[in-house]
Amino acid sequence: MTPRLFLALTLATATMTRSATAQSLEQRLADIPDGSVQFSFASRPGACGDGETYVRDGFGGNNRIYEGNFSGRVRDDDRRPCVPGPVRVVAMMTGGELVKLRAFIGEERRPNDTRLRDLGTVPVGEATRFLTRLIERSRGRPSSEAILPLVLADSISPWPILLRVARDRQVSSNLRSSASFWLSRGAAARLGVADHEDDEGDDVRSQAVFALSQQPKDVSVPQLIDIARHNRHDTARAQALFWLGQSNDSRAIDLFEEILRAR
Amino acid sequence: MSGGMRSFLTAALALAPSTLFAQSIARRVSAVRDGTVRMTYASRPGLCGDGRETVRSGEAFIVLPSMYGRGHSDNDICFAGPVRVAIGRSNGESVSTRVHVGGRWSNEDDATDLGVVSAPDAARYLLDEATRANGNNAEYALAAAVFADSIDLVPDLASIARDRNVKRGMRERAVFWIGTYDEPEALTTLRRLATDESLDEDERGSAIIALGRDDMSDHDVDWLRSIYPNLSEKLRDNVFLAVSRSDSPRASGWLASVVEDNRQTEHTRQQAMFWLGQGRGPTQDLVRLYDRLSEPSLRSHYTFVLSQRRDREAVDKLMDVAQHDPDRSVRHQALFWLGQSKDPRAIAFIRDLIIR
Repeated sequence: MTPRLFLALTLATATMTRSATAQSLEQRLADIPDGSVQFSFASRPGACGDGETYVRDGFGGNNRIYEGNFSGRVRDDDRRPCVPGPVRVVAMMTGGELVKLRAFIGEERRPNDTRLRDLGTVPVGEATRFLTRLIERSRGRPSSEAILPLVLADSISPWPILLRVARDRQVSSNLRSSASFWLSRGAAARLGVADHEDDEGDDVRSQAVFALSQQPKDVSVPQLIDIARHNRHDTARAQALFWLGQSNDSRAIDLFEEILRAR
Repeated sequence: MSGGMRSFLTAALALAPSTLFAQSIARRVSAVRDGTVRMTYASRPGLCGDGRETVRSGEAFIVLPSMYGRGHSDNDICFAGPVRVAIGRSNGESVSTRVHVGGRWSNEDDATDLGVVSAPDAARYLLDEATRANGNNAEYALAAAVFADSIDLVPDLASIARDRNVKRGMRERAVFWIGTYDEPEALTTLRRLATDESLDEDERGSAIIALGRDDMSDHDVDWLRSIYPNLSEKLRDNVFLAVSRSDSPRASGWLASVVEDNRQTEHTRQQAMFWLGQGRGPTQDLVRLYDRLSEPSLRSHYTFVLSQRRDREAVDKLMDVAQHDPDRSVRHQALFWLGQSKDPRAIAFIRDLIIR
């Protein structure tokens, strides 16, 4: 091989690699104007799912997330087992627009679905850059739906972008609420209160924290913050963080930031 | 004078003078092809308004054209008349009717002001308009007729209530307006309507509700109790509402007895409990009731009923239920309603549960 040909091949290879990376998910999705397309990436430790109906976030506790909605503590009962694995994101495209995003973990139920285009496994960084851009774009439902897979991603901290979104009054309340919820969840995990054994006293305390959260914000928020910081019962602290996450109050976001930034 | 002419005059004189004058108002209104016609007349005793949409008559509180109820208003501005009616005319047709009680007309160049007219004449004219007009215009016209002084419209309103050719909403409204008259004849009419099985339940229900008044006697309560066993579940709910208006211990005692009666449906018992809570009996009666509620679903509803009282005894009892009720869901409900309370003791109680 002549040096010139070698250089040309090297340049071509470098260009192709850059181009594949640069083209990345956003452009690859844009190439599919209509239909469903999926990609996968590594999930955070502890995250799992049944491949179809629910995922667990790995922050502790046995809560499940169905269709992006967080459910309370539930028993496993006859549910399909929660299986660890990569996060699989299915994007639905219509007329070149991304209209819906769903996240799964666990065994794919219909692996041979020919209607689903599979982009394969992508690096976490690639996937989270795409998801972050989607969130920052703050455009309709997919922006809110991008938060869950971002939170489930391995080896990244979703909190800076979520803190920004939760404080941004320009974005939709739906997106802000979703960010705020996940910040509360992250804060509970950071404090080590997301996973706790409940006794009957905890049941009463949970209800009491909820009752307190129903008070006007000037009464409830300072008291919930106090409970989240100082209460000796993990359940009460976790519940206080949860209801702070629902409060749409900047003092709650300040608390989440303080907890999540703490070393 | 010829026989024909004599009989014509006799017939003309036999027509009520009010009808003739009402025709005169109609003629004067009809004379205006386009624009606004105004008239002013004396209002019924006890009626007052803010000069705009709000009108009060005894316990009745009305925001025209859509809110008709009973209760009290914090608004002190209430002028005792006159009634002011504005009729919009377009191409020789009446296209709108608006009524205000109190206040003054603003200066409007194209308005034709008929000045002060006879209240009964105006009432007759507007009653006629009410049956002809539609929607809000009919509501305004009927209200404007009822507001007029020196005329008893109860028989006319009863006729409207019974007239199947009149829209249901208008028939119900007629029953409401009968309830604003204090005369014994109005009460008698309402009782007839309440028990008339040929009428729709909505009209009968409106009549039952109208019978519930702040000043109702034990005799009135007894009458409502007497019809209660033969009524549908829906009309029974209306009886509870009506009876709850009474401050007689007899009324609250009867409501409590329905709540305790396990032969009644759960819905009926819950409704009786709700109206007992909304009524004028002391909170202590409600507090005592708790020990006689064996079903958790009733005790759960009880926490809501109690929460609506917002007094010290109610908060004390809710805290007691939140701690000691044998059923977990009832305790949770009590706690939920305490969470809605502004009472500092409720908040302190909740905090204590969390810290404990």
